[in-house]
Amino acid sequence: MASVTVRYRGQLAVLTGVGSEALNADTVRDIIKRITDIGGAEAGKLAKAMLIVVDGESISLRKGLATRLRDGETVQFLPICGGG
Amino acid sequence: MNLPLYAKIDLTTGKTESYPISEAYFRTYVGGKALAARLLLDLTPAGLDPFSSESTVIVNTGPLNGTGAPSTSRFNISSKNVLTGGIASSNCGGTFGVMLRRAGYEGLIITGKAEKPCRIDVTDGEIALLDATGLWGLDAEKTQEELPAHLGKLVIGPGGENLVSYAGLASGERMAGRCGIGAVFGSKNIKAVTAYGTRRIPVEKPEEFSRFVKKWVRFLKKHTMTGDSLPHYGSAGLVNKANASHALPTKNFQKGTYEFADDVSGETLAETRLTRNSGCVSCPIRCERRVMIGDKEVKGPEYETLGFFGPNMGAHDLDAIIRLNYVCDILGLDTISAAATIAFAMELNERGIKDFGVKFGDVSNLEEILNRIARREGECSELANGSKWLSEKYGGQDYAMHAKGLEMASYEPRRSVGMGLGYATSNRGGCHLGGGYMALLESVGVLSISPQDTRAKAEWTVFLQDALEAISTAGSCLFSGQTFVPQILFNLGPNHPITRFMGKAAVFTGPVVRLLLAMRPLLRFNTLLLMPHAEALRLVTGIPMYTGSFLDLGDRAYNAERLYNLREGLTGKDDALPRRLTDVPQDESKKNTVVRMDKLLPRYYKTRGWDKDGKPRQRTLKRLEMADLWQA
Repeated sequence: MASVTVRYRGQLAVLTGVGSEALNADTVRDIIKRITDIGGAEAGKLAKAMLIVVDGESISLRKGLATRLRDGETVQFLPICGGG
Repeated sequence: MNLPLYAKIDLTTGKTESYPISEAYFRTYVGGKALAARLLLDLTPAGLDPFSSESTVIVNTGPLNGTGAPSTSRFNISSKNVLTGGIASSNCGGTFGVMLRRAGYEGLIITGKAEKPCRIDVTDGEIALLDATGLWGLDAEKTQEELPAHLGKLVIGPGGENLVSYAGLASGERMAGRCGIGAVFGSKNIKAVTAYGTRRIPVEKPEEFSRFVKKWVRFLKKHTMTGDSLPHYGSAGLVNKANASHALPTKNFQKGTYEFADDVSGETLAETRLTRNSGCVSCPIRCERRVMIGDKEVKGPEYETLGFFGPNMGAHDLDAIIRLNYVCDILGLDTISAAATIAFAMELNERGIKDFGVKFGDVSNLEEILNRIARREGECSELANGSKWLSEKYGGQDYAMHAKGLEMASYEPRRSVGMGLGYATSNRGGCHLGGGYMALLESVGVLSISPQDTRAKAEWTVFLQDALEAISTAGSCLFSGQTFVPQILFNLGPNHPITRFMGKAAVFTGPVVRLLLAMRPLLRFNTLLLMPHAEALRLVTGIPMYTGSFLDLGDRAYNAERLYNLREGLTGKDDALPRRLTDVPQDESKKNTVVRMDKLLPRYYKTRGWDKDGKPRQRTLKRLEMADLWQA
């Protein structure tokens, strides 16, 4: 398993009760499972619907929730935003 | 039908007269930037210097301004563009537009030049030209403080007075920043336009309209974009998103990601600096950020300002950005063009070409630099001319990041190629909004239509450009149009297989969008889900406005501005981007991280109904009821 830092932003930080934490996980999906465990189903659902960024890069540019993690990476859960 | 009433003001003679808009023009062009473009074509000859006495500036509104419809305080200012030589249009929130309508006029057509600094005042139908000598030299904030509080105000700061090429106009803390219209005001000795009135704004079907407005407000509040993300994070929330998609311009667009982007992100702003959110008259979205500078609460920076005074300068000092945003506003400078021009100067310095005293990573002296730009002091007077002018003098055209002369916004188009097409074709120059804002569908929104793929991008760009033009023409804020992205996608999220599939499949939708555009006469329905503005316009004006005719309105606005550009000597060759974006891959290991204009532009012209040189065809103008403007 990779040792990563996870940052929760917006409402997810409220639901999980922490702003960030160190975790061991193989994939982003493992982190979603962890969020569901500590924050409940609502937190897990919210997390999946957020923009997930691994080391500054959206997982949509990698392999989605199956994106594999490496030691030392930072995983951020960001609210979807708009503007212009 | 209540037809718009404009006033024509000649500052040279001091004469003012009513200028009624005909029913034919009202039905065809409606108001805002569409009608302004048509009037500029009608009333001004080709080839005018924007600072000449004969040049004309139009300050006007849309039919929804002041009606109580959600997010409808936006008004428009159009003139000749100081930076591009083509059309200028700039849009602003706040109270001025509403006040102008209550004062009895839907628009002002201003020409000539006053002998000394003046204020144009419109109060309950009466227009007066007042001496503003005592206001000249004051910044935009102090100018407004000196004027009676009850007035709607539109003023310039030192930037406009000193003809900075990207000087804007301030209304309260809102800015009509782009295209240098503040300098056009300055050239005419207009320090301020003020308005006050008590007239009730006419609505053709008031009861039906009132019911519709309630439904529309509920819809906006329920949608993730307008009811949640924009109120919580404003446009500032885009910094991390753009960075994560490699679409955040960094060091004058050398890269698309920045290591310290989070330091200047909307999330960090909300967590550490935000005092509250706020908003314009009648707007339920409340996207405005309120932050502190010392013990003074001011408007916080938008996404563009965060990106351009941050990562695009290789810097990440959030407090400095908040301060520089405020400084630009009170000096009356467009934050996008000011910061982009400075970033270009930073690269000139990095390459050893020219040292203006600015360098990447250091924003400590920029407040002084901005003050010197606004007053055209010393060498900073050259920075006041914009990046195109600088590149023509010192070189660096390949990395002077403008289109047609207007600096591009804070989206790196090599990772959002449709946005690149939008920048190149936008009538006022390198603008993301005039460009159709494809970045929302490619790189910073919930859906990601393969950012490097050119397929379907031309069709979507045309569709979005027309939609945004029409929304703007109505007097609405473009943010209210973001609800066209279906809520279901936000519920699923960007990582859901369905959302990801839709992003990939959307590159095959070009023919569908073309068909949709061709079927506009048949789209005789209105729905909250697509463009609620059409229904609001129908109920307010009595014009039979439906989804199809609403898109036609945007198309007409786009073509009218295009015809103005062509008349002023701009051609298809000006629908171009700097070579950094077209020839140099953002990621050297991925050769497709460039904007393939050779693939995008011909399809765009075809979708628009323009010839291979980018000129509207006769049949296109005929379809849009603009055949009288066609020239062989």
